[in-house]
Amino acid sequence: MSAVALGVLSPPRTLPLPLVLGLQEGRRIVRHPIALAGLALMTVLVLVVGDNGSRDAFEVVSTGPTFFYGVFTYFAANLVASRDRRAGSGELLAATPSERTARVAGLCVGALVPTAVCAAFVVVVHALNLARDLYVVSPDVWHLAQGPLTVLGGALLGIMVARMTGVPGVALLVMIAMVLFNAWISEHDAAVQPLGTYVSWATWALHPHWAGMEPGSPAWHVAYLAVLCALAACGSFLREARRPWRVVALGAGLTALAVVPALAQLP
Amino acid sequence: MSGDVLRASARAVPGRAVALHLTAAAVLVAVTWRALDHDSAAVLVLRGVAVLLATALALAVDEPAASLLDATPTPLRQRLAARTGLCCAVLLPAWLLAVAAATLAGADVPVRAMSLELAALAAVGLAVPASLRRWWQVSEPGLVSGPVLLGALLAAAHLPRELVLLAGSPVDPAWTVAHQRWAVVLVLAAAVLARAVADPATARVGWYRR
Repeated sequence: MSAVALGVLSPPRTLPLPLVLGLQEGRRIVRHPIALAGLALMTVLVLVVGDNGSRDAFEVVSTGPTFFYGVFTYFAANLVASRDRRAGSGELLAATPSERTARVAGLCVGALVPTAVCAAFVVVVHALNLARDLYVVSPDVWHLAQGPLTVLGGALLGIMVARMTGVPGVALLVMIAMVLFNAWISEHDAAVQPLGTYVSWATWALHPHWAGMEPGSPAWHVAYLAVLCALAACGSFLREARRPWRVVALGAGLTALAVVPALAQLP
Repeated sequence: MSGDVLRASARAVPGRAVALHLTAAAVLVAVTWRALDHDSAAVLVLRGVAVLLATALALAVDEPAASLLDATPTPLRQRLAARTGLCCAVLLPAWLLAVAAATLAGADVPVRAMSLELAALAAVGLAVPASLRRWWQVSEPGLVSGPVLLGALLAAAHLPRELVLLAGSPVDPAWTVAHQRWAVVLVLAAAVLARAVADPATARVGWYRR
């Protein structure tokens, strides 16, 4: 019989390897005790201050996820991404069909899982706030996108730090530097505050009620955060890529691109 | 403690991690130099230095091959003491330098109180990974010490007035009672650390197991 009559059996179509790895790594990140602690703290934040006033209700869906879930996801992603190096299983993994770049790509894809968890959390809390009529000014989609995007950025930054260096304690120092940078920039003129990664659009006051909006463009700020996320993902490949100069060139291009939304977001 | 244990401990301490934290502490003091003449600013900066030094100590005593070393004649307590002693020989002068820098800048630094805070943070920084290793079999628990210390300080900053730990300056009315609480933290952390590094084989068998 001919092969045509029998019909040629083709192998089943499989998902791309980074996607398969990404789902696994994403599950590891969100189920890490540190990430779960951050999620619990974020939930406590919503329960304790979420209905104090209209400003606090605005803050818990726009800025709240950044400090609690974002910082903790950073550490969880860093530990997951450095797991193979710390366990000394690099030689074992070198024998698998997956290349190092595919594994790093899997980690970057996995960072989308905590992002999705944060996005779902923000949507639910926002819906509850709307139902309870807690807003004076309702956050728009750009305000709501800010939190999940900072969680994505935190996870990608943690992965980048884990892949770039094996010195213990660097992850903590990087996070301390980020927190200090954001604290320093928040002390300055409101005009440059959107250059940070922890941006509060609701004007702060001694009371939890609405006191107005800070100047700037939340939409361009989201674009700025997206470019920073892409930079962190690019940096994750720097040590693994066969042609590092391509990664450096891409990073330089993204840095130049970041100037556009960085300036456009300013009032 | 034999010279062999000390030499082996010196080789095992991750020098780069300790050097990195010492550098970060030096940068912190240098960057905030101009503000150090204010007592409250000096206290804040010295707290930051204390967190960095305590984290360096926790990372330095981490043993990735602890499960193998447990089978050696040198018990965990002795290995921990050797590494802690060697690290303190570097970290304590760094602390004194930071205090001296704040004093030179013009601050009236409460040396004993801030050193008590450093000791309590260091004890917590040692107790947390020791507990994780002993009771949850976490292999490199030192990596979580830094985030735990930082998180604990951030949480302590939001404690109610009745439980304040982070008093702003020596003129704060809560300064004395806050440092009494720091002493309690030190004692509790030391007790947990002592229990965590005790040899399980020497544990007393309860009457119900005889």
